Amino acid sequence: MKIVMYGSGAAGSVFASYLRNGGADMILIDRYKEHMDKVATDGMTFTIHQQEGGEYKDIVKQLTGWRTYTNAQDAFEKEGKVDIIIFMTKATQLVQAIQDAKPVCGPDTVAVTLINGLGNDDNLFKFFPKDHCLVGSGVLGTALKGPGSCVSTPAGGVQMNFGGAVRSEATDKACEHLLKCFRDGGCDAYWRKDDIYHYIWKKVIVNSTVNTVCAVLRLKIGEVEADPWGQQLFHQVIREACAVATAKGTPLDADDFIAHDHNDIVTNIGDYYPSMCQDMLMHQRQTEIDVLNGKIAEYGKELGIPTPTCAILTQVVHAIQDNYDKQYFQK
Amino acid sequence: MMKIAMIGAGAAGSVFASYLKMGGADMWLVDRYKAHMDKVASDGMTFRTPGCEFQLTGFHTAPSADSIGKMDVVILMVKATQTDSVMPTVMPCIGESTVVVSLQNGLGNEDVLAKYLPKTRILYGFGTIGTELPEPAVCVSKPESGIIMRFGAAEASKQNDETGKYLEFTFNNGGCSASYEEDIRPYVWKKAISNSGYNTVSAVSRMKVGPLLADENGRDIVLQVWKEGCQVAKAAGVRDLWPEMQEELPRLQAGFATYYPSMAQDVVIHQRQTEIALLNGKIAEYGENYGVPTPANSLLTKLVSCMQANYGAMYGADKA
Repeated sequence: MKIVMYGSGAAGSVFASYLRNGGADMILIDRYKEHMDKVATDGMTFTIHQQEGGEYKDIVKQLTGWRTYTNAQDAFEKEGKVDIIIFMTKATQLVQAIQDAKPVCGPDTVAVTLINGLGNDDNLFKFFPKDHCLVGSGVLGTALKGPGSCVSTPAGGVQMNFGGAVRSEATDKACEHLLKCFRDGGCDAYWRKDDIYHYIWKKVIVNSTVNTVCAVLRLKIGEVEADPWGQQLFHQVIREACAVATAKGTPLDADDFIAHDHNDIVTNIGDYYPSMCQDMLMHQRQTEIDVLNGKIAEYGKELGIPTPTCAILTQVVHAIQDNYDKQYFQK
Repeated sequence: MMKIAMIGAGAAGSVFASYLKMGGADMWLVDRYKAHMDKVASDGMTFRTPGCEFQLTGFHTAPSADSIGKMDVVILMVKATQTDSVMPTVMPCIGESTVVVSLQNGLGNEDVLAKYLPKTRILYGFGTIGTELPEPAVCVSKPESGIIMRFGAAEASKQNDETGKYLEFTFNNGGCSASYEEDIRPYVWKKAISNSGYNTVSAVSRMKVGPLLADENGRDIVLQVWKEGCQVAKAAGVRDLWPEMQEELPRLQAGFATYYPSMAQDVVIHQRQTEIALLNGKIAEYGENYGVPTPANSLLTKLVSCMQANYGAMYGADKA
């Protein structure tokens, strides 16, 4: 099966490398020409930065046999329509990407988004029939070192969840193939046949809770959890998000989520700044707030479920990320 | 001449006391800051106002209120969050006809005092004066224009009326434009609501007032806080303040755009305890009592309360 990775930044390159390592017929499409050229001529240097018994160890592979293009029209002229297209752009760029990718997409093409956050599926459904759509998300750190070189920092536990938006012959076939390639390539992937939304929502809720609250408070997860006010904020986000998830057809119990999922996070990564802290505090980058708390608030509004905590946190994060240059920094 | 005790003679307490002293009051300063008290007692207070400097003598000073005898008026200028812990030590100077005055920032100060004496002997209000205490026995007043001190009765009574009028006269006589208001509540609420908006959101977003209010989301959060505050004030029996609050935006943009307001200074620059509990915290608390939803005030209260309990751990704190 011909697979296109549309958008080959850090996450796109890493996901594609796992698939290529597992034997997939991979095509990369990205405007970053140096990266595309380097991968086409010399292949991709794929580094897996893995923790083993408390020590980090780098596994480096030189993966070859890619075809790369800087746009979908060039790709179509050589490749024709493809079997699977995976979108790994920024969430805000997805709609434009789907439109730009049209040349390689035919009636049999299965479209996939592994982009973090909520609402990416709705954008796929605008252009592809639901029985040709897969959704999912990956739980691993990724980086692009330079043209033709990417790094995967897999966290302990599951790295990748995906599944058909609905089950169909087309989605089943694509899932089966992706599962095989991911797994053969060393990525701990799971095909969630009937409940992919359960996993997507759980990841979104974890991120909307610890990422957003920690970023605004400038504290680590464990420090917020240990503070009675901070813990209330965590719980408020979880309660709003679980209510919205439930109304959207993915039943999640907030008390249960706090007792298990949230508790696991606090126990395992309490001593860390989550990724939004890195975006906001360390690199002054745009965050994923709009596809996390922002989407929860948007859904809540549509469904008549109160989500003031998510709504106001979204505005606070926007006020900050839209004004990094005007903020007080201690130097 | 009335005997007036100033409980808490920091920058604001010292400035307020200096105006009253200039106006002719018999002033007693009570503060634990020994170097300040000793110097005022021996050499007097150096009082600076725009363009003038006065050397005021004749203050009585004491480290605590239990040895100064009964006062006619007791003014509280300790931090509002400390009133409850300070009041038991203040009670010895409060007689059966003493009127107690809170000129502290925030909401609900009169309710704290009402635990200790009847509302017929409680006045409350606030000053809008920038103040500094650069060294012991030297205090600086940087007043806004117009009326810079307003107060009124927690409950109408002859005692409150007499004391209120006396204080109004004495402040004005000392050069501080003051007004004893028939209904102080709209003034106190309006100031607290305004601060709960721009001051708190500025602290959380770490921005000056100008860029904060120029940002669509920043301005919207401030307006949400204000709307909730006005609804709570209305539920508490205060007139609808919303039309007046809308005039605050241009006023703040014009006057304070290039400043970090006080709470932003507390959180971002000095890592000090803030007045959040008396501002957004009180709006949320009253809101709950009256059944008025206050999600924005409640959320901001939790954010700032968590921040100020964890300054040492906050990202960037080690670079201070």
